[in-house]
Amino acid sequence: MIEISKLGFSYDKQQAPIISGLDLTIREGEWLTVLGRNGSGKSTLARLLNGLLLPSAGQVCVDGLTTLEPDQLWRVREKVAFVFQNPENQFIATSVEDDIAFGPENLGYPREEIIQRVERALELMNLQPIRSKAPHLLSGGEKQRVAIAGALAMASRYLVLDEPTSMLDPQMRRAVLESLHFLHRELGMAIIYITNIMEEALLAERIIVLDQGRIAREGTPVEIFADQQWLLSMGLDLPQISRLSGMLDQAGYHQFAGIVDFQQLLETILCAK
Amino acid sequence: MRQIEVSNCSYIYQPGTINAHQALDQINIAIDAGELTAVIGHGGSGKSTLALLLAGLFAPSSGEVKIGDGRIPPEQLFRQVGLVFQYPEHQLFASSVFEEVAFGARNAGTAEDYLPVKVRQALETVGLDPDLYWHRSPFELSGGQKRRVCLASLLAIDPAIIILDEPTAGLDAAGRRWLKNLLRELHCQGKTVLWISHDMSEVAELAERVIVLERGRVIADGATASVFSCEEQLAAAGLEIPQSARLVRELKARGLAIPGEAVTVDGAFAEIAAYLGGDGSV
Amino acid sequence: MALFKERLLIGQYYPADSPIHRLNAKAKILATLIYMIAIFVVNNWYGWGAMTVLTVAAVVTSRVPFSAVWRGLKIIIFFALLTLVLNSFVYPGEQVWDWGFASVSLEGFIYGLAMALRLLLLVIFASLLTLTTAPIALTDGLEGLLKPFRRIGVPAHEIAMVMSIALRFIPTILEEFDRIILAQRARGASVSQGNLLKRIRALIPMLVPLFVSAFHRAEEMADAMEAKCYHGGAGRTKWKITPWRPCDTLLLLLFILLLAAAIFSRSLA
Repeated sequence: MIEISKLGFSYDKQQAPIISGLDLTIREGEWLTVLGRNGSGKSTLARLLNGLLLPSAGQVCVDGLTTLEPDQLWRVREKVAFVFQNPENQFIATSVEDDIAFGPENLGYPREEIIQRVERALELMNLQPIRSKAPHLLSGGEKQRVAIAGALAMASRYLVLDEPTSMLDPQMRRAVLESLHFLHRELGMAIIYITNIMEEALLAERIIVLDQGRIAREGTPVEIFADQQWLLSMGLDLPQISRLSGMLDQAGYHQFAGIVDFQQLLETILCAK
Repeated sequence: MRQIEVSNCSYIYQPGTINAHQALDQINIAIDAGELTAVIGHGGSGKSTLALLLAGLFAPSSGEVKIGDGRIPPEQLFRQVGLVFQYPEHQLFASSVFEEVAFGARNAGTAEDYLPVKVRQALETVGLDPDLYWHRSPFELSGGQKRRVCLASLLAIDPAIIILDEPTAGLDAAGRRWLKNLLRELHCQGKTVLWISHDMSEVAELAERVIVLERGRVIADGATASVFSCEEQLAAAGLEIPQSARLVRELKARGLAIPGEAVTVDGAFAEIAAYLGGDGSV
Repeated sequence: MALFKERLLIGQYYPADSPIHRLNAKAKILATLIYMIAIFVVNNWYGWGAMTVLTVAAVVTSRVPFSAVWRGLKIIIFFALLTLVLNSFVYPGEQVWDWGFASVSLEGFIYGLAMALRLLLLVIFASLLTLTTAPIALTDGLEGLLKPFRRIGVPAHEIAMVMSIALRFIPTILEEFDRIILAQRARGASVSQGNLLKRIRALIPMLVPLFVSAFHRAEEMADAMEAKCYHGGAGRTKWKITPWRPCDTLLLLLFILLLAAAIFSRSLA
């Protein structure tokens, strides 16, 4: 469990805080999506979760470990893995397998165990065919999957992803999302997913919407996408399906109200007569 | 009037080496002045290479790219064809917004006295108040504002053809909305606009015409609605049509009496509402 | 249009299964160092002939295609020719051609030829090291060799890490530079017009974005490394180790012998 209480953050005391008075509990194994316009504090919150940034006020506790204690910080980072937006700059080593091994190597695990972990991560992410490739020969999507495999090799329980698909094309985006589904469903890893793409937000069990460093609203995708006017006022888009169901609802066909799922909308229209 | 003509054009990276890679394979494209065209295709399909060829930055390995009457010398081509790269904010360099925006126009030979006028106009078009931003360093602006400065820098050159490589990438919803409006505005001003996109709903909303590239070949080229109807072809190219477009097509396939041609949410709504209201049995 | 990324990829690791690929990186680095000394010790054509045979044999054994070696040589050939020409003109000796304002000496020509050959052999052999050794093995090997010097304050791990990151990011940064140049050319930038001062000024729009992006990249990399719990070399495990085998010792002995022979041949000549 990640427990965040009265969290505040600012780079500079004179400036308005980027995060202020934020309370949030992230459960083990859940898929939480974080939405909010650019500048709402999404990325800052993400970086506070694994201690890349340290709170100016309040604290972040991961399974009882706080990022404020230097000797606990490394264990927090082991538990909370991070995938960045830019696939290029987080690939540190000179080949796929070496990059996956980088985390466990830093943690000082015995060689045999690292080998096991790397092999397992390669297998689960289907990366064996490209295991010895150099990063400049990989696509952005492949690099993001290597980053995810790195989290697997660190045996992290939480995976924070900061707009991981925003620089990818649709095909690669699907491949990355499939990998995440696998991690979430089969391995029970908690996913904390920051995105600007509303269709991706629907994958969540829970959504929080950030605005000016605070949680403006929290709920299931259906709950969040029900209030369309409010979402637009938060500087967000609507997924196409919920826009469509909203328009139908307003036109007097109330049976469509609140539908966010493609299949459900399809069935409801087919049964409308 | 024909403005862009690409005939039998191929482009090969590192020809004659073990790393040789054919990015474009004998493509033919003709675009008239004032068209608003989207180019789609997954990564590595040759979209960005096409943009570089059109802007005259690459010369085709074989075939021909003709811009206008085909008699513009390559070093002058940038005055006719403006190309905005992906993440253009990575190319900022000047110490003030004015210098940054004036850079291209100055290179194009705009007179020094006339530069401020051009810069002012361009900043206004991209929605930045010239008086507020004139002296500011482009590096201290937000991501969205940087993108606007880059676009202003292109608009100050005032090219007849504007090519944008994934202009909405990395922007949030508000930024995307703004950019779509800008594209519409440029189109209304009579510019020939060609943009590369991964966002199929954006393409559906804006484009009159869609060109689909796959492994360096043009696999579809035509009006947006008709291209989006070749769903299988698009799927083979790794592309998925927007959900509202898929919905009406699937409804039609399941036997519903609707046209099944819409590509946008509004279009889908109109089709479905017409069907539901058709015999008043709600 | 030739891009930097296509031109400058000298000696990029070429994965293959060859006896040279299998050698320990430490042995290969030491052998290369000895080779470098030997090639400057040698001062006669028998020696240079022998070095040439050795180098060609090494290339053949490595199973690296000649085209991959050649790619890195193109620029060096230019310098080799320059060496040859300059020496021919400058070196004092019996003049074979004389145009009045300049003359070519036979001794100069031969001396230049030897220098050019040295340069070529040196670069071929050194690039064979990077062509046949995975970057990680190379930097680990370097770290291993530097370890004994840690007591006198040589930061072995840090040097190796910096080198590894440089190897990793050079292709990326070249690609970036290509993109920046193209993008500025799309805005009408040109570095091929005007006087020298103008041309240098014209580089600013290319160089500023390159530095900005390099700094930005460095920041993001530091974040990514921290996120993966990197905290220096202390307490770090290495998951890949290449064992030191008898053939590595053999290689070193062979090269020491080579150096001895080179020194001996010098005293003969």
